[in-house]
Amino acid sequence: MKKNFYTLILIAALCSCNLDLAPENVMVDQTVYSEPKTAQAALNGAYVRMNIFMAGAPEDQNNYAYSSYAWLAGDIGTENLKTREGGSSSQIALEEGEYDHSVRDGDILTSWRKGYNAIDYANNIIDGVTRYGNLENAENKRIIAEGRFLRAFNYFNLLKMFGDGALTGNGDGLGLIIRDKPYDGYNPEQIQTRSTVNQTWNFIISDLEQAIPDLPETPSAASGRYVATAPVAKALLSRVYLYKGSYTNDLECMTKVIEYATDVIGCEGYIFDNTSTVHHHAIFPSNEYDSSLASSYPDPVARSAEIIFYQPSRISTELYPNGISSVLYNKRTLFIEDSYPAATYTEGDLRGMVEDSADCMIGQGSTSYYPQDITTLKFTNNAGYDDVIFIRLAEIKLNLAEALARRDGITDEALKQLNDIRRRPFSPDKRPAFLTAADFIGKDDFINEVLTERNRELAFESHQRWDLIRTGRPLRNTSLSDAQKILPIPDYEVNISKGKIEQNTAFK
Amino acid sequence: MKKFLSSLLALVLTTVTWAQVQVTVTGTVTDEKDQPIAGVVVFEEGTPNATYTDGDGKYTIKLNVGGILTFSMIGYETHKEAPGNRSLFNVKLREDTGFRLLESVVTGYSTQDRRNITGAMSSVKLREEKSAGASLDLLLAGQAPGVFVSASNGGLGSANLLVIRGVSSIMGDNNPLYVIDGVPIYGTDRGSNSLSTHGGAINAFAMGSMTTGGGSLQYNSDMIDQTFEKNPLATLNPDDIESIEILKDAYATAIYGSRGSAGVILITTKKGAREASQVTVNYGISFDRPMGKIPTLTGDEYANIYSMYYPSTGYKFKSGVNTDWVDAITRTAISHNMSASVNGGTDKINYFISLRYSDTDSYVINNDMQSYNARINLTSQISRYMSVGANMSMTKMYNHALEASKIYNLALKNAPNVPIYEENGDYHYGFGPYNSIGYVDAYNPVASAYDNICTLQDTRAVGNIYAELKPVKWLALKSEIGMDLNNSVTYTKKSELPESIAASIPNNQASETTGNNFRFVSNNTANFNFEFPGKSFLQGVIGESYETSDEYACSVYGSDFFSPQLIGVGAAQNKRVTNAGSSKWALLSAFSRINYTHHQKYILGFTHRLDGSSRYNRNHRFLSTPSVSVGWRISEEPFVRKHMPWIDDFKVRGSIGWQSKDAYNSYYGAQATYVLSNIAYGGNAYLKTSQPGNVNLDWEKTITYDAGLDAIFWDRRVELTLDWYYRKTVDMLFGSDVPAYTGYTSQDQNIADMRNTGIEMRLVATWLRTRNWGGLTTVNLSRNTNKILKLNLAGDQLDQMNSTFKYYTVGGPVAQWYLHQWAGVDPDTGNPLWLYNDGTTRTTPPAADWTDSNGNKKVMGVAIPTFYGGLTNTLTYKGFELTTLLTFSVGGRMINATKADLMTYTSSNAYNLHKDMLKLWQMKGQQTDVPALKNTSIIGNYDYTSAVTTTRYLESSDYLRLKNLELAWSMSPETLKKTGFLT
Repeated sequence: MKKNFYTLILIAALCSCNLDLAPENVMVDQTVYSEPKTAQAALNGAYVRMNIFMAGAPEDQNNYAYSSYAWLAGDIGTENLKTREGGSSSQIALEEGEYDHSVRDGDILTSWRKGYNAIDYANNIIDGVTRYGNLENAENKRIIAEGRFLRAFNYFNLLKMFGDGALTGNGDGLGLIIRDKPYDGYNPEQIQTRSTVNQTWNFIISDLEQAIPDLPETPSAASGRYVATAPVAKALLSRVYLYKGSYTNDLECMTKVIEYATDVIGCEGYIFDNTSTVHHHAIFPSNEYDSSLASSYPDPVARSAEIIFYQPSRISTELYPNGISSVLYNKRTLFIEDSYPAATYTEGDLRGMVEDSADCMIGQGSTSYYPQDITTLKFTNNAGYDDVIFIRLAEIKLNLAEALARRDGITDEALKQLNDIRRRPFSPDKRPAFLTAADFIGKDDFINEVLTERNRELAFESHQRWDLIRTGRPLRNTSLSDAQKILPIPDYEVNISKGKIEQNTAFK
Repeated sequence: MKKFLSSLLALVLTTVTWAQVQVTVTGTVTDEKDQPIAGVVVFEEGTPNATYTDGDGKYTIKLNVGGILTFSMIGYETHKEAPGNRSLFNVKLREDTGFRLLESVVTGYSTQDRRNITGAMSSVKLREEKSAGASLDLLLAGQAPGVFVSASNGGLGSANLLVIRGVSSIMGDNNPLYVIDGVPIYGTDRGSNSLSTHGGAINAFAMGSMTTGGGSLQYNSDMIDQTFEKNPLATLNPDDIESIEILKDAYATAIYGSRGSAGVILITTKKGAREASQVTVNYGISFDRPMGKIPTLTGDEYANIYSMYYPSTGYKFKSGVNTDWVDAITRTAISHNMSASVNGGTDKINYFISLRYSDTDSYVINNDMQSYNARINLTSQISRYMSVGANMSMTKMYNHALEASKIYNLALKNAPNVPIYEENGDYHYGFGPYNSIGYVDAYNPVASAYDNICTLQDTRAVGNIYAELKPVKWLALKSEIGMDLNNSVTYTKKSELPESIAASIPNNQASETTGNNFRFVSNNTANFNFEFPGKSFLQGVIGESYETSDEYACSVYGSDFFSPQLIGVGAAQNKRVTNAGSSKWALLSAFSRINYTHHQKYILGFTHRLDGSSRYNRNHRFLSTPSVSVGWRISEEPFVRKHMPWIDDFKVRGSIGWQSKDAYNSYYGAQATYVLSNIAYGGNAYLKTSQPGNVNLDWEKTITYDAGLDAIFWDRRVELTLDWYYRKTVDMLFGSDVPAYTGYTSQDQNIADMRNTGIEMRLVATWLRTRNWGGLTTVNLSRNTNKILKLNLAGDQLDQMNSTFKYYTVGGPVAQWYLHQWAGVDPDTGNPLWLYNDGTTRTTPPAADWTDSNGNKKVMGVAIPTFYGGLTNTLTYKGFELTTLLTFSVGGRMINATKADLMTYTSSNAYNLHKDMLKLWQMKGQQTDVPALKNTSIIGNYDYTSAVTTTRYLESSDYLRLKNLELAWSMSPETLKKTGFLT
C-alpha cells in the first residue's frame, strides 16, 4: 500500500513534462500558414500593408494625420501639385529637394518603415506558406506568388524613391536593403546594408517573373482587381522595365516592355473604353450615394474594365477609405495652381475641365478650406472616397508607345496607342485629328509627345515625378541635379547601423 | 496621495490575548548517563525566547504558560516538551541515531543549520497577536534589511510594492517569488493580478500580454480608472505562518534559478507539536481613520474662484451650499480579526488546524472586505522509514472595496457647492443647476459608493502532499505534489442614472470576469547528510521539479438592465462575451545544493539549477544558474574561544552566483502572432500581425556578489548581521529601437545592463534584562544604489514609459524624473516663470515648443529611495508590553499628481481645488507660487501649469513614520480565574 502510494506520486510527477505549448486564442505562423483559408487572410493583410504604405488605409484606427504617403511623392515637386506655405514640411522638402533632420526622421522615416513593413508581411506569406503549407496545392502556390508580387511592388515603389541612380541608369548606385526573410527579432551584429541598384532591380524582376506562372492567367472581374493576377504582374513588369531602361535607352529593357505591354493590352477582360466621358463616369466616378441609405452603401457605378490594379477604397467597399483623399480634398497642404489646367490641357480636353461638378477631374474640393483653390477630384469629392488606381490600361498603352518608339522608331502601333489616349477625352465633334509619323520631327519628338500625353492622362496618379527623373527632365525646382531628385533615406538608419547603411550621395 | 494613504496604516491596536502569561523555568540538561551537556539551545516554540545551557548543563528561560520548550544539540535527538506547571524542569537528551539540525532554517527544498548558512538570508518571525488584518507583505515593512515595502494603493486587498535589494529588471517583474510550503504561488506579477474597474465596458482581466513598465513599480499615478492590482498574499492567513525566510543573495536564491533574481520569500506554515496540545484563540479589533486630509475649497470659495475665471454671463457657479465630499464618503473603519488554532499530536501524527475570519472596513463608506481561511497541516510517521504529510489551506475572500480609492478621488475633485441630497431626500446628481460645467464622472460620489457594485470574490486552495522515505539514516527521499488553485470572479456594475446625466456616463451596465488559475508543481528531492569524524558534515539536496500553469479567463459584458434589481449579466438585455480563453506555461527544472562543513569552522557551498521554460524559443529555452559560497566561523577557532569568550558566534561569509527572472511576460516562445482585423479588404477578412516574432529573446541574467557577517555577542544580547552586495543584471530586456528596414519601430531586446550595490545591516540588541523590565531594539538599515550600465546602441534612451515620465540613461539610475523646470510666479504680472536649459527664465512654457520640448527637460532626481529601514522597540514591564515600529525612507521623489489635479481649474471638469489656490496672484508685487488665474502659460486648450511633467508638483518622498504603536497587557492566570474566564 505504501509502496503503491509512493509509486503513484513518482509517476504523476514525472509524466507530461511538456515545454512545447500551443496557444489557444491567438494564431501563430503554423496555424496561419498551414491552412489556405487563414493563409489567404494573411495575404489580404499584406495587401492592406501595401495600401497603408502607398496611399493610406485603416490601420488600428482611422488615423489620417499622416501627410506624406508614398503615393503623393509622385506628383509633389512636379507641375501637377503645389505645396502650401506653412503646410507640411515634408511635402515642402519634396518640392524644394532639401530635407532637414526632422523631415528625414519624420515623414521619410515613416514612409520607409511602412514600405518595409509591407515587405515584411509579404515575406511572412512567402516563408510561412513555403514552410507550413502543402505546396502541391495550387491555392498555396498562388498565395506565395501573390506574396512575391506584393514584395516586388513594394520594393519597386521604395526603389524609385530612394534608389541612388535607380531611374537614372546607375546600376552600381546604392539600392535598397534586400529583405527576403520575415523579421523574427533583431540582432545588432547582423545589421544589413544596402544592395546595389541593379541587385534591387533584379530582385524585383525575379520576384515578378517567378510569380507569373503561379498567378491566375486571366484578369479578375472588374470588381475584384484589388488582387494580383498574371496580367497585373506583366503590367507592372512593363513599367519596371521602362523605368529601369529609359534613361540609358536600354533596348533589351524596351523589348521586355513591348512584350509585356502587348500581352496585357491583348488580354481578354481589359477593355479600352473610347467614350469621351469615361474618366469621370467610369474610371474616376464621383460615387454619390443616397445618404438616406446610410447603413448600406450602394455601388453607384460599375468599375471600368480598363482598371488593372487598385486599392478598394470606394465608399461602397466595406468602409475601407484611403488616406490621400482627405489630403488632396482639403487642400491644406497641397493644391493645383490656377494656371495648371490651361498650361497642361488643350481646348476641349475633358480631363482639364475645371468645374465643381461630377463631370470634372479638377475642381474646388472642400469648400471649408481654401475655397479659392482647386484640386484633383480623381480620388475624392464631396460624396466620399474612391479607389486608388495603381495600374490601368492607359498607362500600359503609353508604355508600349514609348518603348516601341525607343526601339523601332515611330511605328503604326506606337501611333495607334498614342492616338487612342490622346483623342479619347474629347467629345466626338471636337476630337483632334489622328497624328501620323509625318507630324513628328523625329523619334525624340514623338517620345516627348508620348510623355506629355502621359502626364495629361496620368496626372495625380503618382507617375510624373518618376517619369521626369527617368527621362532626365527637370522637376519643379529646376536646379535639382539627378542625384537630388530622389529622396534621402532616414538618418535613423544611418545612425542605428553606425554608418554601415549609407546615405544617398546627394544627402550625405 | 501615497503619503497620505500610507499613514492610514498607522493605527493603534488593542489586542486582547490570554494564555500568554510568562513564567520562569530553570533546569539541567543531561545525557543518558546523567552527564550535563553544555551549549544546548533551549527555546520556546514559535517565539524568539531562547538561551543556551551553561557548563553545568543549567539553563533559565522565561516562557509563556502552556509554551513548549525545545532542547536541541548536535549529536542528540531534539527534545520537545511543555513544562506545564513545573518551574524546575530537568531534561535528558538521547543520543541521536541520525543527524539533526540545531536551529534549522528552510532554504528551499531542504533545511540547514543556521550557524552554517553562507548565504544572505533574513528570517522573520511574526508574533501572532500583532497581525490583525494586515497582509503579509505589509508586515514585512521595516522587519528585514534589504526589503523595501510600500503600500502602493490604499484599497483593501490591493497589491503593495515589495522589492528586495533594488530593481533587477526594467521591463520585468521585480516582485520576489513567494513559496508557501514548497508551492510557488500565483503570482505577483502585474499581469496576472490586474483587474480593471473602469466603466464596465472594458475587460476586467488582463491576459498577461506584453506589458511595459517596471513590474509593479508604478509611482504616483493618478488612481482614477486605474486597474486594481490585487494582492496575491491577501488570501494567506498571517496567523498560520511559522516562519518567513527572505533569500537575498545568489547562493540562497540560485536554487530557484530563473525566478530568483528578485529574491525569494519562503513561507513555512505551522506544524503540530508532538506530545502537547495547544489551543490558541486570537481576536483583534482595529480602527482606521484617514489622517492628513487634503485641504480643499469650500463651496463658497469654489464658486468664487470659478466665477473669477469664467466672468462671462454664460457661466454661473452658485454659492451657498458647502459640501465636504471627502467627509461624506469617509468614516472610521472598524475591522475585526478572529482566529483560532489547535495543534498537537502523538508519536505518529501531528496536526495543526486553524480557522480565521476577518472583516475589514475601508475608510470609504460601503466598502469592505471579508475573508475566511481554514488550514490543516498534517504529518504522519507511518513506519520507521516513511512519513507522509499534507498542508492544505482554503480561502474565501469577498472584496467589496475595489473602487474605494476611486471614490475617494472623485470626492476630492467633485464641486463642493453642490448638495449631496435634494430637498426631498433623493440624491442630487451632477453639477447642474448649481454650476454650468463640472466633473461629469463624479456625479455624486456618495451615490457611487452606495449604488455601484464592484466586487472580487476569490476562492483559493493552496496545498501540497508529500511522502518522505528514509531508507538509511543519512538519506531522505521526498516526493511532493503541490497546487495553487485560484478561482476569482470580478463583478462590476454601474447603476442606472437619471436621464439628465445618463448620456455622458457609463451606466446601467455590468461586466463579469471569471478567472480560473491552476498551478501544479511536483518536486522530487533527495536530501543527504553525512557526518565525518571531527564534526565535519556533508549536507545537500539534489532534485527535479516540474511546474505548469493554466490560466483561464472569461469575461462577459451586459448593458441595459430592465430593472436595477437585476444583477447577473445574463439578465441584461444586451450582452456579449468580451474575452475567453486560457494561457499556459511550464517550467522543467533540475537542481542541486551541496554544503561541506569542515570541523564546524570552514564551510563551502555549491548550488546549481537548470531551468527550461516554455515561454522562450527553443534555442533559448534552458538557463543554468550556478553559485558558490564560502564561510568561516571564526568563533569556533580556539584563540577566539579563549580570548574572546564574549563572542557567542561569529561568521564571515561570501558568495557569488547567477540568477534570473522571467522578465518576459508573454507566452509561447516569442512567436509572431496574428489577429483578425475588424475591417475588411475588398470585403474579405484579413489578418494583421499583433506581435512580430522575437526568437533572439533570451533570459535576463543577474550575477550577484555578496559578502557578509553574522555575529552574536554577550549571551545573545547583541545580534548583528552585515551584508555588502553587488548585483549586475546583464542582457536586461528593454523596449529598444530596431532598424526601420525591419518594418517595425521597437521591440524588447536583451540589450541593457544594470547594477545595484548596497549594504544592509540588522542589529538586535537586548539592552535591558532585569527581573521586571525588558528592552529589545531591532534596527534594520538598507542602502541600495542603482545604475544603468548599458542601454541600446545609441548609448542612451529617453523613454517615457507608461507616461510616468521616467528617464533612462547610461550612468544614471533607473526611473529618474525628467521634467520641465518651474521657476515660480512673476510678482509683477502673476505669470508663471520657467527655467530653460540655457539658463534663461521665461514666461513661455517650454512644453509649448513642440519641436524642442524635451530639449528643455532636466533630470530631477529618482523615484526609488536609496536608503530605508525600520526600528522596532519593545519595552516590557511585568505584564505590559509597549512596541513601536518606526520606518523611514530617504532619497526618493514623487510627483504629486493629485495636487496637480487639484490645481487644475482650466478644464471643463471644474474640479474642486486645493486650498493653496486661495493664494493665487491677484495684485502686482504679490509674492506667491500660485499664478494668476489667467496667465501666459495657458495656451489654447493647454494649461501648462497643471502638467505633471514639471517640477511644480515634484516632492520628496522621504518619510519617517510611526508605523505601529502597540500596548499589550497580559493578564496573570490568577486574574483570569477571578473573572471566571479560566477555570
